[in-house]
Parts: sequence; structure tokens; C-alpha cells
Amino acid sequence: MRVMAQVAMVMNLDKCIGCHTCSVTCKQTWTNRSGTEYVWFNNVETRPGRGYPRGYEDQEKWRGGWELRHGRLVPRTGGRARRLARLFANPELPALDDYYQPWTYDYDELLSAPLGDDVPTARPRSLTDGRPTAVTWGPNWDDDLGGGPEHLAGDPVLRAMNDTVRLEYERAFMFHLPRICEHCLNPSCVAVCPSGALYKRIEDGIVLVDQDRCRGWRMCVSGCPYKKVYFNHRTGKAEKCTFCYPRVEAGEPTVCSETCVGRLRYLGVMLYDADRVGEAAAVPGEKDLYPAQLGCFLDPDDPEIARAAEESGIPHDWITAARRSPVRALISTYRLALPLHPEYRTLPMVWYVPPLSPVVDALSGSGHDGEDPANLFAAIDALRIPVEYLAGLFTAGDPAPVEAALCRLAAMRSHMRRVNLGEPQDPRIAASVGLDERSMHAMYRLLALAKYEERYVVPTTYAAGSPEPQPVSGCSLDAEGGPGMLPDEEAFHAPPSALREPAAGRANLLTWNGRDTAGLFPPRRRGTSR
Amino acid sequence: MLTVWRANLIGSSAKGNEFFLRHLLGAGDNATAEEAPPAARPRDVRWRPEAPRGKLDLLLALDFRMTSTTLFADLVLPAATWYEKHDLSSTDMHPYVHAFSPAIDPPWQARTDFETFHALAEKFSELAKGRLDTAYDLVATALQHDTPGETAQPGGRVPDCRAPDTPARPGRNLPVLTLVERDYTAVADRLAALGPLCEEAGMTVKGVTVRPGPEVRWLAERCGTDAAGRPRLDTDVKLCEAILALSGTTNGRLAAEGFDALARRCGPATGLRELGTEVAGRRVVFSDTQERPVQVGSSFEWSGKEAHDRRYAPFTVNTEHRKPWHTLTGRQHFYLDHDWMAELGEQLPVYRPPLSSPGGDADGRSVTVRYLTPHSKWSIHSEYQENLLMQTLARGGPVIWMSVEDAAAIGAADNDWIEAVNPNGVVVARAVVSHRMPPGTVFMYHVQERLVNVPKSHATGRRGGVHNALTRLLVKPTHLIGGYGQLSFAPNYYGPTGNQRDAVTTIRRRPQNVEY
Amino acid sequence: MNHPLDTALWGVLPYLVLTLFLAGSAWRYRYDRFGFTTRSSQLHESRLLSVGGPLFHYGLLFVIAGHLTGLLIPESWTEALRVSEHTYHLTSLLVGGAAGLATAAGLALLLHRRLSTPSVRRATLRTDLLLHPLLSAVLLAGLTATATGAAAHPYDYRRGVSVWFRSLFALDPDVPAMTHAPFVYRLHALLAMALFTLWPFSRLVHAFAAPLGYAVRPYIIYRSRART
Repeated sequence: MRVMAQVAMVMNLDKCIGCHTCSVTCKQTWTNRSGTEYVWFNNVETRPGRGYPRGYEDQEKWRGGWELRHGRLVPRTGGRARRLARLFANPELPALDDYYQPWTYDYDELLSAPLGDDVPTARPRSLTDGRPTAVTWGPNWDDDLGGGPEHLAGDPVLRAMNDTVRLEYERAFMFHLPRICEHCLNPSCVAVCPSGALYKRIEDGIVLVDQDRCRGWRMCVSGCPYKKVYFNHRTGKAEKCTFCYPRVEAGEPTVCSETCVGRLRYLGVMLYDADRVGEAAAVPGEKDLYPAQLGCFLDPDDPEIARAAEESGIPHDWITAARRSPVRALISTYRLALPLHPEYRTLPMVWYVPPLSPVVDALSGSGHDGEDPANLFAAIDALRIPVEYLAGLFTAGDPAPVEAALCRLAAMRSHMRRVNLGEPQDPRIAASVGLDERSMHAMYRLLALAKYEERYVVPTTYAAGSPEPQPVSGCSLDAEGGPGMLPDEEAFHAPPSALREPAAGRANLLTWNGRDTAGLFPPRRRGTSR
Repeated sequence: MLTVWRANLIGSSAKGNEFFLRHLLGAGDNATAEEAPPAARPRDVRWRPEAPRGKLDLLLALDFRMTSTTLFADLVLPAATWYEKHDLSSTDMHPYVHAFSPAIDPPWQARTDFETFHALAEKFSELAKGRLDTAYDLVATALQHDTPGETAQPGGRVPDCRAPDTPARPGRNLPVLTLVERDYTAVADRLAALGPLCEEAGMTVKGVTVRPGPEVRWLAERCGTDAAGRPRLDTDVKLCEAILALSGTTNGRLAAEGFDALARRCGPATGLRELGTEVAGRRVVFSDTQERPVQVGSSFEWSGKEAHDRRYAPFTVNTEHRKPWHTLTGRQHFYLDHDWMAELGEQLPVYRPPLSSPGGDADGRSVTVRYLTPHSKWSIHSEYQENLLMQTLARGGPVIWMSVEDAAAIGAADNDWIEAVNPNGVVVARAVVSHRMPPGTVFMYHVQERLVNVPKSHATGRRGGVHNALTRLLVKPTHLIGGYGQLSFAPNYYGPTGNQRDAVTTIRRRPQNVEY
Repeated sequence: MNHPLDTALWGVLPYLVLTLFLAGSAWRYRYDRFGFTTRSSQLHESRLLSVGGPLFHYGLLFVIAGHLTGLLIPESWTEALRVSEHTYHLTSLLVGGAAGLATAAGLALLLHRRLSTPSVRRATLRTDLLLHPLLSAVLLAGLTATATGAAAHPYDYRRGVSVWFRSLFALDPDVPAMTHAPFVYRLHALLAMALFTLWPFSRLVHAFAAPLGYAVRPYIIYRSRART
């Protein structure tokens, strides 16, 4: 057993209103620069919907994640030999059209149009080739079910369902699915990178791309089944969600979490057994992957585990944090949270609490109390959002864990309703879902009240005694084309133009303007007049 | 003259936009509606054969975005944004007041609103000497809610002053008429100072009057005084200070005085005096709001209570302290016995079918549907639709949401260009086809403007209009009732509303080659 | 006695080029490791690339293999292995010619793609404007040289150019070996030297990043946050 720790996330889909604040704040922080115009580390999808990039969940086509070949895990894009053989043109790489062609507008037209008898307008212009363009796809095209049944038929999860879902007005259903990088325990993006630029961090499990080691082979983009590694077409490097590691290292929540309007995100430490990961990812049955991954997680309250963790070098306050972890509560204790597409075999670490939805009218229409536990549990598989759809997302098609989670949520509602109305408690409600009153209240507190300090339990990564040599020049993220390194604010809106000056302290010959010499040579030594 | 101060009247709020363009501004428009035929014209209001065009002499806009309003404005003054000035921020639905603080000075020629209006006032006052000087104005104000005007027409009988034996009495069957002296040369000075009326006449809100004598004296010390001895309000910070000093929500002394008055009216058992005592010691000054958002306190000016452990909910003062409702009976009631209500048969809430139902469509190429302009999920009115991030997360330009059936009826696929017309105007947009739309109704979400990605209309050859190009304002006669209990005018409370219900439009799929 | 120009070209210039190549590459690796990337434009256009990319690169691999064989392995060694000159020549002509043609075809396709796809064109670097013509010229010269090898009495470069090449490393350049080589071979060599000079300062450095280690590397990599 090798105990390791990861800062993981759970999102409560019951609360997502699809406001996209998370998308916008993440983009403003990390990807509002040249080369990443089309990149949204955090995106929010309406489901049913085709997602971003469109149809990414169709692994028959995109071949992301892992598969079992003769009982052994192999990346679905093939083994090492095939990868090297296909180095020169990755056949599974999505095109920009699959994400969308980023655009801007001729805003200047509004200021500079000549006097006329009609109102001017700013027409769209492509950010990739600078020509006037029509907008035909975006990162959130089917928001709120825009596009209709014909378009939604392209939803891979919908297509895989056995029951036909009728997309009609009277039966319309939707929910929102915010997605970031899963920071998997068994990341296929790391596995397929030929140059070894991608890596998983020992201390917190965050998966990152080393910008100095990335050689632009762009295999990671197709390797990821969630399509959360992106190619920066300006710098020629891969970029991905960094889990806001500079913030997490300081004990702060990620930007998407901090700004979430619905307060639906939870951050906390999970202890896992690194030795069990390979085995768990390779269990033959897809439906067994969820329980297998649960089996990798370790109980920080167990003194043996705690001791092993300390021996592994996990700091004491991380173990404390693991005990108070809201993510552990939702994943392991209450079994409310489920992994996204466990069948990809990457063992994702951003899990989701499935959304409750209204019981179909048939039940309450006939005069039954829809919130009465007996009726509610019986109606769980007749909820507006088909359980089969949720199972297709979260449990490789197994409805049982989804139903169990939904029943617990429904029981919590029934229980708390009695509390709010001043009615006598009925302990059978909690018992019927394997919980007790105390845990009902604790669950309610965590999910409904969701206090800030209880949502985000993130220990710092401070380690006393290890000298931190200062980087050669300022912040390690200060690369030309790096986040926050916009030479001027208009760059986001402007059509592509001449390549810009490098940031001081680092050279990038490919975009060198031929004049600036900063960073090209070793720094002059000062004060060595002797 | 119309000053639009960081609002977007022409591109957003003007319902019946094309009529605004025609009658208010005198600009070109796409309305094709005809005047009402003689049989449908009002009898009691003078009818002019030629409705005047371009009634407005001057449209002045203060803004930092190029909107339809600033494009149509005669003058545009560059405005500072939120992080370039001192100001106060609050809403009535959450319990905080907070300051805007400048991070930078307004760049280039932009000025804060405060500076702009004061500069205009200075110049205006200077020019008024020898031209306008002092004038007298007869001002008519409506019979207002929470004033004695509410009892002007007992029993809901309206004594028609045009009848021979019914005298016209201001405040009874005429508006309240007041003679106002306007010294136009003093506008600038008076804008920059707190006048004597708030002390002399007191400040009255919801029928309760408080006297801010101590506050005015405090402001005189805090802000200095002008030549007339009045507290100066010559900077934006001082004005913010004055607002905080004169509001019961941030000045507990005034709140307590108001609650006291209410307690005298409603009785000691209501606990209103104690409510005042709780907040009497609270005092929020501007520097408090600059440090952090500050919670406001309960005040007689609002119907809900504030406390450190509860959030604002309206009418909790009424329900928990038994303050009577501001109605004829002091209770909530449905039945309204006003003459005009009876004339329309609306003494009780009643269902009214739509004015015109969408006809059966299908000439195969167009469909006539009910046209709604709901608030979008990202704003009520305030989303800046030119923002690239927001457009990227949406469809990149104005859209109309249609049902699958209606789209099929006109042969339109998702994202096809369509045109929606009715006698009020023309809209060019792309279709969003969705099964979550019921057949027979389309949505064009609020305020998509026409300055981003709106082509020329195939029907008219001119630029398509804003979402309000297809609407027109209707005035409901019962909204003109005044002087009768709760049916008395108060801004944003009761009065003629911008009512654009029952709009209907005909939509067809247009040629997909568009011109800008 | 060698003409001074010949000495300069074949006795001095190669060393300058080699120095620039090595030092430049070292400098680049030290100061601009961020720039070591393929700068792939597959995101913008992948249909033409899926043919042109592999065609060019695989062709090039064979071309390089052929060059290494031809330049570094002395004739005496192949003869010792009982490979006759004729066999060698035929092999190098056919295989080399095919490889060269494939490379040229691939490059032509890639260039066409770069010029005709607006988004790819926009992504073109300034050094590319130097690099691509130079690379094309080197290829064309090399193909021409190979084509001359189909003549009745072809020039045996293993007795001329290769000798010169190996002599460079003995620090005793055999200048006459090059001066007596046909023009097209000399042109090819000069253009190649120009290419090697440009190499460290252009996107060609991505060739150094060939991920050979991937064949034996474990799939999952863990790294510590602390700087090692």
C-alpha cells in the first residue's frame, strides 16, 4: 500500500443553474490570450447536448482514454509503437471546427462608420485567419437545449441509451454539466505524451503540462477522453486546466470554485492507495469500475492508514484535512457523488452529485403527494431526467448507484421538510436509505447550507526546510504567450496580427522580433568590479 | 431635451422602438402600422391628423459604450466606469451598501457623472443670466400613494370636471397644482448644496415624516457650508455622505424617529418603537462603505426588516408588527370598487384572452406566432451584448427561439437567418430551434441590440431592429386611476406601465446570403 | 594548390557551420527550451497534413538514413561485406530516389497546404519564410544529384563527397575531393550547410526532440512539486 493524497472536487448538479460564471472567470484568468482563444479549461454543457468539443464522448470516433486488450490496459489510441508511428499526423486529433472557430467583431466599425442613414453594425471576423466569417458553432452552442431534437440526436450518451428518449415539449428535460480536467488517478494524457511533458504531482495529484518539455506532439489532446487538454496554436504547446495550483498551494479554492454562483463545488483531500490504481482501472467489467475506484480511496480516520500516510511523507495537516474533507463525505460516506464516465478507465477525480428532477406529472397529477418518501422512491425511475441518462454519464450504465444517490437526496428532502414544517420526525426515512438522523442533518448542512469553510477544505503545500531556489527570472508562468502575459488588453478582441515581443527574461526565438535582447544571454553579474 | 445617463433607451428599453425612432427622434424607421381608423379613435382626447415626428430637440447620452442610444444621440459625453469614481451601490433586495472607489482616474476625456452634471449646471447657470433668469412654473403632480391624495375620490367615484355642475378642484379631480419658482441662474449653486426644504418640510416616505435637523448640522460640519450657509455637496464623496446621513437604513436615529411615528399611529403593542430602538445607534458613514460592504438596518422607509441574523423579506414589518397594509381596508384584499374598474368589469381578478390570437399560419413559407421578450438567463437588462465572451458562450448574435414545429413550418433549420415582421417593425435574427419552445410562441430575449452581427433586412433593405422593434406600448386605462387608496400613483409601484403584451409577429426564413 | 575560395568553402566553412550548429543548439536548449516544439498546425488543417506530414517525415527519415550510410560508411567496408558498387549504387538510386521523391512530394503538399489555408498561413513564422525555401532547395538539389546518378557513368560520391565529409572529422579537410565533385553535389552541400546554420534558430530544433525514449518509458509519470 502506498498512500498518496489528492485535492479532488465534487460538483453538485442539483445546484448548477448554467450561469457560466465559472467558465468566464477561468477564461479571464488562464486562457484569454492569443493561441487559446478557443480554449475553455472550464466549460459548462447543457445535457442532453453534444458537449465541447462536439461529440467528444464518442470514443469509437475519438479513441480517448484506455481500453483493455487481453486484460491489460492500453491507451485506446494504441500502444507506444502506433503512437510513434503516427507522430507526424495524429489521426484522432480534433480539428478546430470540432471545438469552434473563435471569432471577434469589427467593433471599430461602430466608431468609424461614415455618416449614413442606417445604423452600423459590427460583423463577425475570424480570430484564426482574420477574414469576415459567419458564426456557425460555439463552445456552448446547445445551451438550454438550443438546436432541437435533430441536433441533440448527436449526444453520445443519448444515442447509447436503450430506451428512446422523446425530446418533446411536454417531456423536455435538461441539466447543466460543468467540466474541468479530471486530474485522473490513471491519466491517459500522461501516458500518451511521447516526450513525457505531462505529469501528475505527487503531493496533490494535480496533472500538469511542463511547458519547457512539451514538444508539441499533440498526442495528449486525443489521449484525453474528456478532451480537456488543448493545443495552443500560437506557442505550439499543450495546455490544460491547472486546478489553479498556485491558489491550491496557498490553501485557496480554484477560481471556478471561488466564483461559483450556485455554491455547488466542493474541494477536499482524498487519500488513495497508489498501488491499487492500476488494478482498479483494469477490472474487466465497466460497471465495476466505480466500485473499484471507491476501493482505492483510503479512510483517514483509520489509524493504520494515518500512520502509513505520515510515513509516506504526507503532512499532518493534510491528514486532518482528509478527515474533514467534504469530497470524502460526498464520495465515500454518503455515496452521493459519482465519477464522470468511469468506463474511460482513467479513474477521474472530479465527481458529481446527480440532479434530482421533478417527478413526472403522472404521479402528482393523480393526487399523490410527490414528496412522500414511499411515493418518491417508487418514482425515482420515473423522474423527468431519465435515470438511464444519468447512468450513462456516471456509472457506465449501471442504474443502481444513481438510484441510490437520488433516493438519499430525496430522503433528505423528505426528512428536512418535516423539520421545516415542525412535524414529528420519522426515523424510517433515514433508515430506508441506510443513514441516520444525524447524518441526514450533516448531509443537509453540507449540501444545502454549504458554508464556505466546509465546502473548501484545502491544506497548503508549504513544506518547511526545503529551500526554494528562486526561478531564473520572476514567475515560472511568465512565458511569452503565457497566462496574464497579454501585451495589451485589446489582444483578446483583435484579429490575429504580427507576433509580439517576448516577456523580459525569457526568449522565444520562434516569435522573436529581432530587436529585444533580454533573456537571450546570461545575466550580467553585478558588483564584480574587483 | 432627453438625457440618457448610462442607459440604453434606443437599443434596449424603448418598447415600440420604431415609434420612438419616428416620433421621438425623427429618424428613419421600419414601422408600417397605419393610424387607427376613425371608428377606433379616442373621443375625449384631441386627435391630431399628423402625429408629430422628431419631437425631441436634443438627445444627450452619457456612456462608455457605443450603443444604439449613443449612435442616435446628438451629443455623447464620455462617462467614467465603476472603477473610476466614488459612488454608492445598493439594491433593495439585498441588505448591503457598498462604495465604488476609483482604481484609476477616468481616462482621456471621460468624466464621472457627478463632474459631468455639475459642469453642465455651471455652464447652464452662467448662460441663464440675462436669458432665463427666474421663471415661474405651474407643476402638475399626480395624486400620490401614501399622501392625502389617496383619499381624493372616496368610494371610487370620479367627479368628472368636464361635467357642468362639477367644479375642477386640484387634488380632487385634477392633479395637484403647485407654483414653483425656478431661479435658473442658481442651478449650479443649488446642485452643489443641500437645500433647506428637507429641514423645513421634513422628509416624508410612505406617509411618515422625519426631520433631519441634526443630520443637516452634521453635514454642515462634515462638508463645509456655502455662501448661503447650506451644507456643501460639491464633491461626489460629500453627496454619498449626505445620502447615507439622510436615509433611515444607514442612519438609525432617523429610522427610530420614523418607527416612533409609526408606533404612535399603530399602537404600542406593535413593537415598532422597539424596532426603532434596536437600530437607533447604527450610523454608517461613507468611509465604512469603502472598507467593505456594510449591512443596512431596518427603517420605516421599507416594508421589510433587516437584522444581522436574517435577510430582507418584504412586508415583514406588516406581518410581524401588525402595521396595516397601505390599502383602503388596511388589509390585503382583492375586490376593488372603483368606477373605472367596474366599467371594465375588473373589480375582481379576471382572465382576459389575448388581444389578438396568432392566426392559423401555413402559407407554407411563414408562420404567425406570439412574440415574447423575456429576460435572458444572464441579465434582466444589463448584459452588455457586445461582450465577446458572452457572445461566444451564446450564438454570436441576436437570436429568436422557435419551436421545432414552427421552424419546420417555415423550413428553417437551427441557426438559419430568419426575419420577423409585424406592423411595428422588422427584426433580422438567427433561429434557435428547440423542443423546449411550445408551438405558437417565440422568444426573443431581452436586449440583444443591433450593433453586433445584425444584417440588413431582406424585406426593407435597412438594418434589422432591436427586439423591441416588434413591440408597441399599450396603456391600460385602469393604470391611470389615482386618488383611490392603493390605486394611486407612485413610481415603480402603480401607474401606467410599459405594457407590450400580446405582440404577434410573422416569421419567415429569409435568403441566407446576408449583407451588412 | 587549392584556390582560396575552395579552401574557404570546403575547408573552413564546414567548421564554422558545425560550430554554429552545435553552439547554437546548446544556446537554444539553454535559453529557449520553450521554443522546442513542432508548432503543429494540425488544429487548423488536418486532411492534407495526414498525407503530407507522414510522407515528408518518413521520406526524410529514409533520406537521412541513406545519407548516414553513404557519407559515413567507407566503400571499403561495404566491399568487405561483399556488397558490390553496382548493388550499392542501384540500391541508393532506387531507395534513395524513392525516399527523396516522397520527401519532396510531402514537402510540396505541406507547402501548398501552408500557402492555401489562410489559418495555417497566418501561423507561419518569420524563420519559416527562410526555412521552407532553403529546405526545398536542398531537396531539389539532392534529387537532382540522385537523378544524375542514373546516367551511364555516374559520379561516385563515395569516393568524393563522402571522403571529404569524413575528412572533416579528422581535422584534415580533403578540399580537392569536393572541388572535383559535380556542381550539383557542391550546390547541395552548400545549401545543406546553410540549412544547418539556420537549424538551431528555427523550428527545425523539433527534430532533436524525437521521442525515442517513449518506447521504454512507463506510461504514468509522477513528479514532485519541489524543485529538484
